[in-house]
Amino acid sequence: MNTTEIREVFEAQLELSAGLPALVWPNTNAPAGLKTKVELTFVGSRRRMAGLNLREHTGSLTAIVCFPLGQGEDPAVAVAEALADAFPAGFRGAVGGTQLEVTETPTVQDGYPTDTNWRVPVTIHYRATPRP
Amino acid sequence: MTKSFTAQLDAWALETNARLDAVTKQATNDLIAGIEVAPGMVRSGSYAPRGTIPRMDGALAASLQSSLYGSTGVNSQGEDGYTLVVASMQAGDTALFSWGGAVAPYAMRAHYGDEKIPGTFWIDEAAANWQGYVSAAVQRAKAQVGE
Repeated sequence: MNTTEIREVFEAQLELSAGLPALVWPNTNAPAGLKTKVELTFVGSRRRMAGLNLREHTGSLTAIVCFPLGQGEDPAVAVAEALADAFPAGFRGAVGGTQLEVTETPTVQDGYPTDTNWRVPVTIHYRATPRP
Repeated sequence: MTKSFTAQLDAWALETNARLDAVTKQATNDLIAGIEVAPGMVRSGSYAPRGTIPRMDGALAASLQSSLYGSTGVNSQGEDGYTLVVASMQAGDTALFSWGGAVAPYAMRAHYGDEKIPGTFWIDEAAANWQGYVSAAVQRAKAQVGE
């Protein structure tokens, strides 16, 4: 079980969701000028170790849906809700030695403007454990 | 921006309402008090660390609105206003703490980030520690009664 496999569980499920904009994972570069995208960030991660082995990992994945300003709220909210629906409470996925469970229904926050984007955050809480 | 919590309590804490109330007050107080305020950006160009409220112009931390719904209704505004709500809390009450509003309309940008400055996610980081605050509050309550 490791953090790479945790990300891969999310990636695999996100790839099944049709119509999502480009995904931008932490510490990767989005193409210059890309204004429609989903920025992904792991937040509040707590790791429980047994020796050198990761035994449990809890936290949340925050997905921020970004659309250009001036298109109204609906396009970003529609993507945010589709993204939240892809991870219902109780959702389980596994990659390699990692199994992951979504621990509560994802929350879609109110949108907010920045200099160039309208952004809608989605928070997905999870717990990952070693695959039996 | 809201987040709800539930917690696992041990049998000792569940034994009396007084213990439950004490643990609820202590854990909630420690959660909010534990959110630090940090300079939004320092001369080196680095940003406020994760889990902190960035102090850009002072208004964000002071925009904290604390409300209690349940056994008593209490509303309080200000960086330290949560103490009034905590003092009135009983187990089972719902307390709401929020930042932003007209005082600091940029709260969402500070929390989740924008094109230039990364978010500090102070609410989500604090929420991730909730069970730890509850466990610590139970241990402190046990120590105070000499058990």
